[in-house]
Amino acid sequence: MIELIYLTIIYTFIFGSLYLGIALGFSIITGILRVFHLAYPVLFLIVAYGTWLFWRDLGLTFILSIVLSFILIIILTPILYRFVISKFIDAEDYLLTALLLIFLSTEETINLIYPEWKGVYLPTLILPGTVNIGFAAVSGQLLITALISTIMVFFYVIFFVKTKIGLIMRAISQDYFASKMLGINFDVMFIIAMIAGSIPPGIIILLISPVWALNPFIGWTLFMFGLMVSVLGGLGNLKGTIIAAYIVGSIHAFIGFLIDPRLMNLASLIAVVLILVFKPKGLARAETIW
Amino acid sequence: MVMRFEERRGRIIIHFLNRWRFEWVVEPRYWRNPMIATFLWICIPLLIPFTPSGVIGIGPMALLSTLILANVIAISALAHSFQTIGTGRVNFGPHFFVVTGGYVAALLNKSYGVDPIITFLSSFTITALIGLVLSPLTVIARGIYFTLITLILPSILHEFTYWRSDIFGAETGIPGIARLISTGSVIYDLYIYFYTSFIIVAIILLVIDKILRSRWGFILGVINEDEDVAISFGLNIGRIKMIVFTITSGVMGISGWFITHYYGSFTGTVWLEPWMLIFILLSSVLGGKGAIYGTVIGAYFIVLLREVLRSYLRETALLVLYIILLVLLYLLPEGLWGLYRRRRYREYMPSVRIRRKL
Amino acid sequence: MNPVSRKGLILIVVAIIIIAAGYLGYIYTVPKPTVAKPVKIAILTDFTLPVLKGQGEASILAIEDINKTGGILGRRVEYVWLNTMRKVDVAITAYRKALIEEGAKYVVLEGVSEEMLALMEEGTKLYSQYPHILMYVGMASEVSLKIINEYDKYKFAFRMFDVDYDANVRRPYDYFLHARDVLKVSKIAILIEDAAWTYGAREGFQATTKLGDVKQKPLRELAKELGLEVVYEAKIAVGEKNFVPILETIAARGAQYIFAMTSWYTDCVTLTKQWATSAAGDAYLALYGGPNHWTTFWDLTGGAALGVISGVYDIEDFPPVSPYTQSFIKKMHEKGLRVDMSAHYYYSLIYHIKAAIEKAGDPDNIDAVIKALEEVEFKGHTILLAPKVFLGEKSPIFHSYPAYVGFLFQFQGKDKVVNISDPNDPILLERYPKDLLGKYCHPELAKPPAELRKQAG
Repeated sequence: MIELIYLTIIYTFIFGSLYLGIALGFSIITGILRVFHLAYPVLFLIVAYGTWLFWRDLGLTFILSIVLSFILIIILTPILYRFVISKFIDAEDYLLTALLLIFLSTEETINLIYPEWKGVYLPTLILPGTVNIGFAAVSGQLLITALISTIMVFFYVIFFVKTKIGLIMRAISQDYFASKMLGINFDVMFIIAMIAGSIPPGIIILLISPVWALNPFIGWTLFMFGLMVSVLGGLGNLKGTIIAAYIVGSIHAFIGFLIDPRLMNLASLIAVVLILVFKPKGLARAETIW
Repeated sequence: MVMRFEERRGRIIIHFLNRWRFEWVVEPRYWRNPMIATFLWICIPLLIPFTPSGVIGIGPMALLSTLILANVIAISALAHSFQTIGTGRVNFGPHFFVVTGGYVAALLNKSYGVDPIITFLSSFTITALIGLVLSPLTVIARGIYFTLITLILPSILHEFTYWRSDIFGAETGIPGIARLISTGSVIYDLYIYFYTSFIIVAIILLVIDKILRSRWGFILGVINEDEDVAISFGLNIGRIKMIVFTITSGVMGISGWFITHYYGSFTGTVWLEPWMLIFILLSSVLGGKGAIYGTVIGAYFIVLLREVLRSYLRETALLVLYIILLVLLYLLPEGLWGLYRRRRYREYMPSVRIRRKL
Repeated sequence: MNPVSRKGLILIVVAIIIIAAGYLGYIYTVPKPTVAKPVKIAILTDFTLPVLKGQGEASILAIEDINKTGGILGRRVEYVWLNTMRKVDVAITAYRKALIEEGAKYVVLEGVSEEMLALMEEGTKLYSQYPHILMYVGMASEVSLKIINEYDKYKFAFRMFDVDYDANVRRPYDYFLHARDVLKVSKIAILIEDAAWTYGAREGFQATTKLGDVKQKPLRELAKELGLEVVYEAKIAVGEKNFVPILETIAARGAQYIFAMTSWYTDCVTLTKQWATSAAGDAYLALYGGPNHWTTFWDLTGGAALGVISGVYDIEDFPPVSPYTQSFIKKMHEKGLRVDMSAHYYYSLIYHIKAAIEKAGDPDNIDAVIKALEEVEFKGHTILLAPKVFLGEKSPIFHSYPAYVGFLFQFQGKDKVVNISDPNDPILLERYPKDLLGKYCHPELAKPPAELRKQAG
């Protein structure tokens, strides 16, 4: 029993950090652009299958393939912004529908080109086997994922707190019109924000591919984790997202280890909805990125 | 006197019991096009058997089945459209209410032998009650928060159907439900199903149209445009939104009821998938913002398009469907209804604008 | 503009309705002259999902093979493929089209249980005007219960597979027997996918049918009967991605063997990957259904499948249960397709129909073909060689096959999938020739996952 409680504590950190990594990009984009980025799951797919395409189909080295897939994201992001988001920014229902269709189209396209039986996988296993932490043996890859995710969040927090561009983005998220009056170039800032928000999902999918299935339909599942955390935390607020990630992580760990693993997802969904009933804007105190 | 007719310039007013009045504008320009459209809507399906080799690749049976599905989608989409107009929020979980209605009908009929007429009332009532419980969200959750919370609801129901597979049947659903109609002839049954669903759609359309053209429609329009102005006029916008949400949720449940008694079985997990959300959402969006007639046209268009693509394309049918719909979003900023409305004098219709301010 | 004449409008509407009703009555009541036609089979499947595509292509392959050898009773076999998009409403539309417009008398539905149940209901309406046979390969005990208890209504439906309450006892029992006798384990963990088809395996199942009673024990009781200690049991949510708590708890409880009753609804790839990197990685992992039936499961898991035990139906030197077995697998590979258990069934069922039609003597006499399907003993199945393979056993497995119990393989490397079944397994000996078992089964090659990983470095 003690061992299970110990595992619960450790995996609260691991699950929480993982969900935080998944939700980070979505939170940034929502916080700054105030757009519900329904095409966010596409980012996971582009990095995963983009890497495979460059590596196996085009014969490039693995590291170069990863870099190119991120460059692909950086190229596609302004296109998405220019032709979809800025076009429909004032018609939210059109925007949400367009983003959802883009996601579904991408998913279907990847399914046609790389159906599951093709056996796509990415050799990104960094720490095989288990790592002993006290008297518990913990999955090495998940531990590494959690640590890298935490470091990544730390750097993003530093970015928003200490850098000029980060401060500008915070200003935009705090007061849209006041920022406009100061002459900020919104288009450039939004594109930078979208690019910044597109990096974390790419990193996360690379890290978790040795421990999660890689198929054309994983985008939505990952997105639902990120969505749950972002909504609970308060859309677009990084502090809230961080707290929410560890709340969801703790629910999964507690229910999974001590109650019934079957109820993990249901418990977290119900908990999120209940918390939102009392705090409809999530846990965050303010509707700003930080 | 129960009923009294009064003729005024350009209109006939019918008085009921000296209490209620019904106005009918006699001028043809107001009812001519709706009459023609309704006539075509009723009669075109009758011509289907005269096309044994099919229409644009769809055979008669498939065409009739598709039109019935289009009506099912239209029922939910109309309710969703009106809900969006009335609450100023986009519900991303309409299929949650459809499936709730379906399960209510299925369980009552399968477990207790309840008649479809009673399950109709039960589906509406219970789904509306659930809508009532959730309706405070329209007041306390603004904009995107509401959208996201409603997006989570289908996932919760999905989990429930598997968790209690002994009740909901999980992936196999609940088979052996009583059908609405069984004449012994497939084609006659299909026609009766079509016209039954058509009548439901028509009634919903008429009711919503009447509401939108009335004082209430004006009130909903004001709430939609600017809630602060609406409050300053003394409107209890919270109550209005909750009422609209509750009733429209019940109407979406009717959609689920029809599915159950049409197919004779109900598998909620299938209808909880994202495609159902897309169909309902796009019927409203592609139909035309805030245009309820456009919603019906949108529903028919999307369902027929899917069927055409399914008939001609193999693996790529779904992908091509999504791409076409995406392209249409760009080409039709006013939706399909906007193509027609451009040629007509615009009457006041509440427009839908989801405010970006959270 | 002059007001439209309302009377005229009404007259036109009435005229159209009368004409339409008359035409409908004519075309659907006047008997059509019978003409010798090809045997038409409708294949209803979604070609975007690999497993369903494999099922459809397997049936098409069988039809092509049959045509090459002269067809059925000298008549060519034609097929029409109709896309279901894996949706019940589309499947019903396709079903109606298949029967009414395409004139198909044999309908092969993809292995999706909810579709089969819905189509069976639809079929009760269609059968009187459009006699046909509806077949599918899948689970859902309701399919069999309906057929048995309301035979006259559902006699056209056949499950060309085994029934849950039979298969989900025999197959896992054999896994447990193998675990005890070959792998020499005593402590096991049982994971069961939380879905309708596993209800009996989780809670036990009882039913009274017109052909006898069904009594299915839950898996934990089967394991205990064999002297195995069930140290942990859990349900797996459909689509679950986080197996870590389950695996860590299994490790904490000291399980030596993990039996996971999975299907295509379970993310077996994620389960395997997380198992390989967890504290439970040294325990054997035995999977039931899913992509683990393919040899490419190795690639899907990036090699994490090292040590996994499963039925694998994709290897070209699969034990030749019938003359068609290995050639079928090869032909599917030549088409670029993988082969799971259901693909074998979808290929074989076409041959079973052929045998039944030949016995009945007339493919258009559906009642005779139904009777023949219930009587003919089918000997051409690519993997099923049960004591007697036919669909007419007057028991709760009526209109289904007897349970398949097959070979167990272990993934021991890329392109190295080893048959570790026990040739002395009494259940296998009931089903397969002793010499076949002796030649293809090598239990001595079974290795613990830890040892395999060590060898692999």
